[in-house]
Amino acid sequence: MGTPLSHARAILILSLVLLAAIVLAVAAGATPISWRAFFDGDATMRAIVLRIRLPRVIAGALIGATLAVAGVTFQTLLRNPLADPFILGVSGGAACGAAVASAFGLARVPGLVPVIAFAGACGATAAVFLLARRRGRSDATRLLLSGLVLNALFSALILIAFGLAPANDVNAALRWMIGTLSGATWNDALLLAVLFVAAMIVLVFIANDLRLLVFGEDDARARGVDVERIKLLGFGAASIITGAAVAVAGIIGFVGLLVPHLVRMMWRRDFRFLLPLCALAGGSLLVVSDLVSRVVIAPVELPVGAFTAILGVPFFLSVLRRER
Amino acid sequence: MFAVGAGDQLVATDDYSDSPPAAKRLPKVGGVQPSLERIVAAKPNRVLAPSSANYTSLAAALKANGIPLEIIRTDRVNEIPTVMQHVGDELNAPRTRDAVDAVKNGLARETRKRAKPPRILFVAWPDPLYVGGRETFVDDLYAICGAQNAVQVKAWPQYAIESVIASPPDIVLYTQHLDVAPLLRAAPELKAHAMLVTVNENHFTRPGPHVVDAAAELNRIIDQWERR
Repeated sequence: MGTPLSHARAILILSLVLLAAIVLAVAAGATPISWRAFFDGDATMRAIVLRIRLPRVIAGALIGATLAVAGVTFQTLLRNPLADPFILGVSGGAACGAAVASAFGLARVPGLVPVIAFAGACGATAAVFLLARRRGRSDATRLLLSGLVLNALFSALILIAFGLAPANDVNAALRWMIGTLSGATWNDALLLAVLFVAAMIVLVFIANDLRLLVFGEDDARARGVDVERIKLLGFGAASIITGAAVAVAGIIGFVGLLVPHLVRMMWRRDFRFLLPLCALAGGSLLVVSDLVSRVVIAPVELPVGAFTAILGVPFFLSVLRRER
Repeated sequence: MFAVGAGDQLVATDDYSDSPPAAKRLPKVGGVQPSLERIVAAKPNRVLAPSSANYTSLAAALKANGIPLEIIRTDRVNEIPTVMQHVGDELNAPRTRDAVDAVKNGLARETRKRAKPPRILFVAWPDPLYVGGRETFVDDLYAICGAQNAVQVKAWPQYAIESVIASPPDIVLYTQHLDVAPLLRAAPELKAHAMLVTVNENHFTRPGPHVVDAAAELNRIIDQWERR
């Protein structure tokens, strides 16, 4: 397994990749940027770079990082490689909140639907956690099953909400179903950054205990890990940041599930190193996907979720092939 | 149907049909997914549906019940009188000719040539931004009223906000129920550079005989912009 030097090298490489992705994504877009005009104080150039692109790119990096970190946390907690924020119903809860709120006309109240989406994500996690609890313990299989069942319920509620809602209000909910970084503001980026940093502090703090969970809950308990407390902290932190990510950008698939696997296959590190590596790789993937989605037939923008898959799947398959 | 004088031949409508007032009083058969049972129960000889909806399975189900489904295509302005003529002829509607002439003459009356055509942005949805592009109903209205579309893209795509900032339109149109606050937060330039106007949803998003009202409304808006 890796040496500290190769850990540092992996983090350095991925940091450079993310930095390059951010620079590229700020420089390129539907409108050609004249940097000379930008530095001469041209209002239009400054508005496009500083108010449209930069917050969108930063929010994208944070959302990608959030989804990948949440994914690796759920996978480690549940010791299940298929766990991700979507399978556990977290994003389904957010989308359901947004859809039902829209069906009741609440989308016409400015700023309310993101809050409800966030509440939906957190509510879904709490529900999954409570459903899976038996005799004071939550079993990993029960957690995953509860997530699957709740997802089915959310899908049903979303369909009913769409059936009841007037056509215009359905459109409001679609924003959360399709997933887009369009319109991301500095406030969004700031909110995501604060929550992300807070969640990372919690996760780094419990990283060593989470690592021990790999050997099984009983084994971890025998080594003195307070498994229930670790689960609560891990789930809580990962769910809150996922809720915020979904509230800003809607459902963006693939990142949470496959980035952790990609990172594990390339570097095979324990949880402590997976965290920063996943954050950097997830951020890079979403920034590049969003860039491609808005330049490929600019000024038309395409759904970013399609490109996380289109860019990620071939890369994933090539790594998978090399692994064998 | 009402315009050509065939309103009395209607036995039911979808949930959205609210104009003229008499349409509201008819039995309703549902919205995006109309109820096959209710349609069959209303015993129509034929069912008319807009091309904007996707009724593949409904068409097959109606056919099995011996009811033909006819798709009405009014995505563009010039299709409206053609469709009215066609429907009116098929139903032997008494006011077909008058109604078709009213639309044609009305549009001719509203046709303008303007020295400086304003560039108009139609916001179909504000967040994420969807716009009315070229080769659409609103684009046809711009041509009639002597205006230009502010965007080059076709149809109704999601659109880059930065492109709107880079070349702001003169007029921004959106229907009365939309909350454009998120768009204006992202692009406050629109408030400074463009005239923001709400338009009648029925006239601008449901192509039909109201197209003349839509053109008149748009001309009033552009006249107001010219006087600024």
